[in-house]
Amino acid sequence: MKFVDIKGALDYSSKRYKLKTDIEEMVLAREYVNYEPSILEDYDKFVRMNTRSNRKETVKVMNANGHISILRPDITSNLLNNLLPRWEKDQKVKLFYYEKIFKQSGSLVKEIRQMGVECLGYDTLDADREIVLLANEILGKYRQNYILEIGSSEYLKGLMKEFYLDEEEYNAILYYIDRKNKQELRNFTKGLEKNDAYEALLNVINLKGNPIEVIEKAEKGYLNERMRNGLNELKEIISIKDKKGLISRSMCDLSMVSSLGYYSGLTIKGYYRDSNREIIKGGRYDTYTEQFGEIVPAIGFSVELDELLKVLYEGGDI
Amino acid sequence: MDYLVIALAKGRLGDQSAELFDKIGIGKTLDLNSRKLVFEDEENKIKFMLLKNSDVVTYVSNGVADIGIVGKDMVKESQSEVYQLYNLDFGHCKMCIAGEKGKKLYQNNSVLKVATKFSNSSKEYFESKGQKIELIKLNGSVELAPILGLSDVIVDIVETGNTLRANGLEILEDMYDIHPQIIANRIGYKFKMEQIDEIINKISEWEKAHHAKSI
Repeated sequence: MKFVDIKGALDYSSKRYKLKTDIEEMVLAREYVNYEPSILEDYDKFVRMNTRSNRKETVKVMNANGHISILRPDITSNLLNNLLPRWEKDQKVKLFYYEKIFKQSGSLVKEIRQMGVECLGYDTLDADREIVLLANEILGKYRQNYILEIGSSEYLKGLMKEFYLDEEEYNAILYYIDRKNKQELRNFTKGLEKNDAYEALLNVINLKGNPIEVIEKAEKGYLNERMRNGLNELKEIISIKDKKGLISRSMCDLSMVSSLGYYSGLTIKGYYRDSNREIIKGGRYDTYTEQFGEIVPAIGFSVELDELLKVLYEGGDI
Repeated sequence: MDYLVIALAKGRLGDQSAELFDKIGIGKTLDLNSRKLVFEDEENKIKFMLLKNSDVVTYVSNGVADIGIVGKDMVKESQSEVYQLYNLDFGHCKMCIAGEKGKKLYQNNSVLKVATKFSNSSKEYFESKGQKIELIKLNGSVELAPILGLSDVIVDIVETGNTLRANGLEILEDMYDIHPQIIANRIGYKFKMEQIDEIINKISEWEKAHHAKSI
């Protein structure tokens, strides 16, 4: 948001502060501790750890001896990088952050505010539930009309495992699932018709909607342990009483593809009708932690604070 | 209740889309001959907007429209992440590489000059084939490019092949099939899922019952 006059700009800024403190109150009440990651990261290390991320988008800084650092491009990996080398067995921490991340966009450096929570060392369903409830509370605080979407990366990964696919086929199938293009998925997979999992693959696109109904439908056709575990997890998570409209506002999409390589269990996303971006995004990422030197069960989400503020401000809700 | 917003392309595709909606009982207020660009179907809580063909994907992916009907060529070219919910069974054509008769397409290390309106799709296609190209972006009369020596080949939509033949060109390779798609904004779809799915079901049933190709 750009303002011509100082009054408008200060007003907006104070609303941002209010939004931040509102959410801070919610996480502090659940005993999350604030964490401030460092602003600089080593470029070489970043490239090694994040082979698939876009290097062009990182903002480089060179020091006097020609050593290259970057301004942190995200918080989670920065945080894991700092904490996991010192990790003690069975440790449990609940953190929250409110920071800026930096992205090179053409000739501009974009500063994006992110607020988020991470539970490290927690592998229980209680942690999953807490994360879902917290996300639901944040979304529901400002709007009646929102959607909290839940999915399971394990269900989809388990399903894909039923087929022997090379990388190109795997990616093409995920592409059609992601775009919900059932006709082209069917055309592309004609050669797989004999596989017992074929119908389940085509139907995964239809497994979306009311979470209780979707899980019931999916339970009739799981093919392996991994898919069943994924479903059971979701079932347990939504079995909590309908607190603050959680069930009525949530939907389940078992064909949620985004960042499949990153997540290893529950995935969540939060939307408002009048925003074209995900307000909340997160999930369980136990296996992702491995590359930072230690497998630590982890779950968390981030809130797109700038987008949330913009939507609430334009709607006159803050 | 807020309206479902549908983006339609002006021109033949829009006419066919309106006809299809009429068959399943929505959009009675659509009048493509008027100069109006926005129509409301109060009964079904739908708002239609008429846009330039190449802008339909932009409006849908930015969330101004919830769904839209547009050719797959446009969806592919935009590289947008919109949902591609349904492939309609009319207006079939192909994206092709065309050139003068007998032109060799793949030339090892030399750079192939490609004139087209579809730069992203061409780049992606030739990259997958390992052929280096120089792109020449044109806005129309693409067939002229090889004749006048602007490019070696062209990438364009071919329906009957008549325009190509009339200009002494032929299809050198088919790239992929093209048909109109119902696309949806990723977030708009979630909020309007029941209504959108119902429309698609009705269309699909109508197509099945009428062997669609006669639309």
